[in-house]
Amino acid sequence: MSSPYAVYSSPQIPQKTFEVDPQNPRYQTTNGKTTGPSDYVLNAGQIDRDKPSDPKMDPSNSEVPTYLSKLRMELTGVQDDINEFLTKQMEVAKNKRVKVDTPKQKAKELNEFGEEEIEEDEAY
Amino acid sequence: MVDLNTISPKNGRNYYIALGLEGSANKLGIGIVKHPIKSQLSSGDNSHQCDAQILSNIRDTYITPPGEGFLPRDTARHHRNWCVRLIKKALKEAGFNDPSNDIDVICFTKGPGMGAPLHSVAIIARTCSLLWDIPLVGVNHCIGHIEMGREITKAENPVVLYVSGGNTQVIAYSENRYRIFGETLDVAIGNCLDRFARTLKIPNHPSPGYNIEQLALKCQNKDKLIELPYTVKGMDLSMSGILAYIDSLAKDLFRGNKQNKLLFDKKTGKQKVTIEDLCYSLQENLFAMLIEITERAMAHVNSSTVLIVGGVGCNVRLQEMMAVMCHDRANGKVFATDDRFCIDNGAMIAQAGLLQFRMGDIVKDLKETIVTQKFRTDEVFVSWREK
Amino acid sequence: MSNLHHTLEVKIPFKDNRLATTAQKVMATDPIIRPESFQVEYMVSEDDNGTLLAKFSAEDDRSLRVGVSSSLSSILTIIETMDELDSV
Repeated sequence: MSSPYAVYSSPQIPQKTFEVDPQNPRYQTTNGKTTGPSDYVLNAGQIDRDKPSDPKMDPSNSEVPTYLSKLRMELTGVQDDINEFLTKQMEVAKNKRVKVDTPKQKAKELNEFGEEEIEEDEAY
Repeated sequence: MVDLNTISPKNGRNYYIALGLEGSANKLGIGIVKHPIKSQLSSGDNSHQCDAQILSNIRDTYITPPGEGFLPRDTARHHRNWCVRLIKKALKEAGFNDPSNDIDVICFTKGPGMGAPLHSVAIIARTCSLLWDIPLVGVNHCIGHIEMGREITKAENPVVLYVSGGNTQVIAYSENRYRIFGETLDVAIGNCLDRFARTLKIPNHPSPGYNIEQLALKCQNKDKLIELPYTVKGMDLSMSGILAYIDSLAKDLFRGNKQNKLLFDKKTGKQKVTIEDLCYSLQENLFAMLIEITERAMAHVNSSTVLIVGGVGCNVRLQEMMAVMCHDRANGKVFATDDRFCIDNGAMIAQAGLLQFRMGDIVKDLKETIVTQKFRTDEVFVSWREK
Repeated sequence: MSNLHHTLEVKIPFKDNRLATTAQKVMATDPIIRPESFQVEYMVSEDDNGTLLAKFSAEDDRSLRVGVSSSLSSILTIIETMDELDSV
């Protein structure tokens, strides 16, 4: 096995695996979908000039990326898969909580959720 | 006695090579610095005369749209995605293709600064250190500014005014510490200028402070200063009140609030003050406060020279005002550097880090490379200077 | 630790023990900011040659997402550094 691989588990979902599909363009880029600039600067008109560098090509065969570049691209895809899955799970959890609340609270929570920002800084 | 020659350079060479990585705020800097072995450095207080050669000093700045500041997350992303490319470019410029043999030490900024950007560069410093088997040195960002300034200007023992987006300090050396004589009690001067630039929605390129300086130059009413709060408190100063006040003036100006008699003529309603006037008065007021506390520090330590470091230190008007004050004192002299060295850069981290390395101060456990947002200038034991 | 029931294990095959160990050392250096809601452990697995194994556990999916994504971004940077700058 030479591709990254991940397994998720929670009280709601006993097991969910994340695998690389080498043919899918999602695993053939260094530029992740979920790791771009924040909406805050994009909304202010920022043009993204800080994308990750391109993969490095094998010195002996310029058609093929190096092993580490391939690993980097595949892990970028897996990171997107995980981020998208967990974001969806967060929505599910939030909606569940809203159901038992009053309609007024529900409207408020949904509104807040629409503006929710994933804060990654505090985690580094 | 300080001996900077006890650690031998790699492979029997007669010079040291340091790679410096800086990323504590929105600038990412990679520098490579060379020190020849010099017999004068075996004793005495000569650490400002290393004959440092800057083999490369590359910077890339994360710039946000007008009116917007930089978030830690986006700034860290900028550093993460550019750092390796910049290191490759710096190595090439210096003519190195075998870093594990060419480089003696990797120096990185340990703090102070923004956590996420600092961390993203520290990760790369650690990785390079392990790959190349080269020791690491964690550098205090402020000490980097001071040592680069001393090396470039040859100022031996100046009072240091350190003015940047994150720091405002008046510093003097005493008994192996750069001691803080006075500092801001709230926002840094560069932050104050940056935030006013955002209120004005002027570009952040090349830097918000530079654009304010240019607007101030266009002021037509230099004899009519707009009165702003002057908030020196002993050796310290406060700027948040000034910022709030000048922000409110700018907003009234944009809104055309004729009730504001400072800005509009009581009878005719004609505009009396321009954005350029505001920029000019803001600079004059803030800089006057800096000069006052710097002069007081000079009197305290009986020094006649000032070294200005940090990004705001490139401001020509600040340098001029400081020169006027120094001129009035006996043998007074101002030392400053240009934007290559006063704005955050990698060479300054290499310079300070190489001094540490030559005194045997290297990272022994990776835990020492954990970055820290708060890291005061006077926490560092300055082993490379005489008591 | 008992309430960290949202877990994720990521396997990253470096195919090289030296590189996997390097990544492990770099990543394991930093302290966890909120250990009561998020934990991570990095190891080089002994059966799979040169594979970095990252084991994350969190109190909810939100903490997991924040911690995992930032950690993977760092690992991606480490891979790029090795790819472009390893001189061995």
